[in-house]
Amino acid sequence: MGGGNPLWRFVGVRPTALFFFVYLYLPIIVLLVLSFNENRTATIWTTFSTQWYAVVLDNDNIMRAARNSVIVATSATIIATILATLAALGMARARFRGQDAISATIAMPLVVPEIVTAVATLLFFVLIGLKLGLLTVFLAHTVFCIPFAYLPIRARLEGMDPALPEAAADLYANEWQAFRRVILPLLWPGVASGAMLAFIISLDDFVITYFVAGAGATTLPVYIFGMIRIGITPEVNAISALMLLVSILFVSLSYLVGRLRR
Amino acid sequence: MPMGWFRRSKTHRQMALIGPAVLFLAVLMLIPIVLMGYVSFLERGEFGGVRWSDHTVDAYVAFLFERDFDGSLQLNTDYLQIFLRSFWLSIGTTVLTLLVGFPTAFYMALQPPRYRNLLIFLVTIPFWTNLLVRNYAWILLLRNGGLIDSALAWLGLTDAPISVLYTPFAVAIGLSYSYLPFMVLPIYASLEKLDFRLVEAAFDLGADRRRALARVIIPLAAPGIAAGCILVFIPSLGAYVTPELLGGGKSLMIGSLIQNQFGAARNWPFGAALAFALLGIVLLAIVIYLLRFRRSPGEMT
Amino acid sequence: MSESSGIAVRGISKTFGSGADRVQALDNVSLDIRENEFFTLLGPSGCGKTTLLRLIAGFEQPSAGDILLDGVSIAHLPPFQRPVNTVFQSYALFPHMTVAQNIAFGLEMQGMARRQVDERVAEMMTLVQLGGLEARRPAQLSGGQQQRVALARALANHPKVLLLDEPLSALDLKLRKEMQIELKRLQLESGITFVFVTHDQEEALTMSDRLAVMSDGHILQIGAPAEIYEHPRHRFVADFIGEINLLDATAAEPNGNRVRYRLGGSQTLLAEAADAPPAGRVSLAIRPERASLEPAGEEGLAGAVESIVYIGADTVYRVALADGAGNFIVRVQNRAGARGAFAIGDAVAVVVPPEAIQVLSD
Repeated sequence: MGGGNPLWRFVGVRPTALFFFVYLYLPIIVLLVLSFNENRTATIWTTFSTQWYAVVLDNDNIMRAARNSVIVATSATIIATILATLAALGMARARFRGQDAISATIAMPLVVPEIVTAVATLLFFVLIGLKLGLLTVFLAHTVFCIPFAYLPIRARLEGMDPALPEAAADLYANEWQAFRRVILPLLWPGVASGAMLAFIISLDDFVITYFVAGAGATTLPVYIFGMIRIGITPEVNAISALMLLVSILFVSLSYLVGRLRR
Repeated sequence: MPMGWFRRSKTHRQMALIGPAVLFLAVLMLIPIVLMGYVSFLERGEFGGVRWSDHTVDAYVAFLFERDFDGSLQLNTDYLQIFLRSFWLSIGTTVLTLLVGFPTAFYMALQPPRYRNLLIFLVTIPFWTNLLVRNYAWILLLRNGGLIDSALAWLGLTDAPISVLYTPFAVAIGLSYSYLPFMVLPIYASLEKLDFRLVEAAFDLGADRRRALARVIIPLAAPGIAAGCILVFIPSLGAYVTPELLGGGKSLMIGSLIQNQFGAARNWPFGAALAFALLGIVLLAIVIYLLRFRRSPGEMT
Repeated sequence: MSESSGIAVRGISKTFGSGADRVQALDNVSLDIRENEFFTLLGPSGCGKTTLLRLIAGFEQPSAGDILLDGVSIAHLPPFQRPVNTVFQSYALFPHMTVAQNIAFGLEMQGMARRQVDERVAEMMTLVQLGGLEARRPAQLSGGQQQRVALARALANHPKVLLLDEPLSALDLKLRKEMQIELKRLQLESGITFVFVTHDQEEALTMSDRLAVMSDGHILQIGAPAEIYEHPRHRFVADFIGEINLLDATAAEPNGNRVRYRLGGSQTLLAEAADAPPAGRVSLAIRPERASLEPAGEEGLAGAVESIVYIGADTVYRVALADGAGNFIVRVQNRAGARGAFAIGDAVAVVVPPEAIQVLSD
């Protein structure tokens, strides 16, 4: 209905949309370009160079923070995806009292402002006497990874033909066989997509990590925050560009996997 | 029976599946928030932390009053001002994103289906990239001697540095940038569901584009518009990264104020009380939204 | 101009998409719709009838050609500047407005004063017999009631032409029959030109003053219902409207003012020469109720009864014609009770009066 029909040409809609996409991508593109700038002063372009990437990859502190990030993101993703998959299976086509309350609980990390979650989680760890470190970061990350993993899995289940398990049962599959041979093969793109989203969200988190990470548990975003506060340097450009690329890679993968066999 | 676990009643099995996730969230999310509420009523410890045995409403009193040397309470609006500033900055951000987001979502909804998916993907990508990095990119653009400043000077439009970075304006730009996708996506979702024959009917009955927009399109997209506003307003109000990086960390907004209580100021009960108040505002906004739009006319069709 | 013309469609073409996706929805279509007439566009889905309606309404712009309303071109006016209103197939009632607000919408857009709007709405509510439902929302109404609101909303504006896009297709059979009568009544009372789109040939025949049969972006025939039914000029029209026997034949020899046609083997049929110009290969179209069955040996097409279907008022015989001339359906009125004179397997003669045969070129 859009396209050529002049009836649907509302004044200002197209220019605003164009502005939107430029606004959305200009900063990202500028950052990516400047990360290849040879000049020491981070914003004045001289010539193309990959030297700052080398500097970043050679920095022990950055590599240690990156290792922490990957450890936390991997473990939080695994646990969150397992919990989310089970919960999504339990909620599928369920009609029981308290269902809304459970949905609300699962969605809570998305609704409560990050800073509030951060404060509450910090106070909780201090009260139960858990020493701040990678373990506390892992626990806190698992919490907010659960809804991100849950939503795509749930969507996948909702889109599934409810007659499929019945068809499997009709063909003599018991419930476990029906799950393994019919449900799971259809569900896995949702699970993979959810896991990847959880992984990026964990990898990128700053606010909550900033509160609950002890001295030895600095993650990459926390380290980058420290660097930005000190000053704008080509190293920050390079490491920021790397984080951008990793995120874009993962979200693209998640998108492609999520669309599999639709 | 080997499959005994699966043969138990349906409800039992559902509970067993849902249980672990809910338990995990209850212990690490619900309980901590309740605890935070409790801590806000405790005395502060002398070197940070709290005194668990002493209860007081000092943290809430401190929001509006400060204790003089002689112990009498004096009105102190510093914190209230920070709350109000956060509030207005968030409202401003919401309005800005709405002005850009609605036409964008409308544009997307008018595209042929195969372009729409690509556009949605383009809108979501920045959301999945690191918030710090995205805000950092704006430092590169906004700072004196940065790209925008240089471009304006080169064009001869300015003769002095723009000095936008580390102002509330820079914070508003950064917040709008950070949360724009949250505005576009729910509006797009409601516009995409909208039956465009209703708009044709409005045209047919003599409404021009402006009136079709005001009388049919916007009322029917209202749930999406409200959802978008909530989704932008909430994280803006609690934002920490953007005011820290683009506002220069001058305790411009609630987020920085809260963080400060757990850092330099070492006043945990006050920090907990501030966070609790923030949560209260957020819940209020959500409740209003649910009461107004849960059963909206647009979704009754 | 001798006759004041309601709508004149002049050489309209419409294509959608481009390149490989290019679809020609209408191809050089011309048509005159008279004032105050109930005109129907009839055809199978995808024939272009809805596209033509949307062009008249203004939702689409023609790729070529012009549309005139009372002699004035409206082809490039937006829908909100045309004195034409539409009843949508889906009704397109505004879900966030009450029945009264829906009906008042067009009047408000025209800037009518509040009191007049209220009066007109009340008048419309009575006209479509919905009094008392003013404050309901569309979702609280039955399908038939929604239909009436959609009608009232369009008619309230006193349009010069009312366009109806398959408005009855969502209703069940009984309601549809009721609404057919109702629509006809409204058209007569209001004196408004109705342009009605449908794929239901029975609906088209019962309601229209005139109808246009469309296929594949073209108009094949325009005429009054009886004319279209009795004298189809295309094989497609004959086949689409009602049940019909179509027999392949070649012209054999003229016989006075009649022509004898050869069907295959020794089977022949005599038809009126008046509408039988084409020589060579033709189709003979014969309505099942115009033929009769006689015992074998009578002058007619020889064959054997293959099946018998009793359908209440009539019995339908399917006859396999001898010499591979095809099948022939005969519809016989049950004057003498349920039992007919023939049984399956009986040899019979199908008798067709010459004036019942329509000769069509392929």
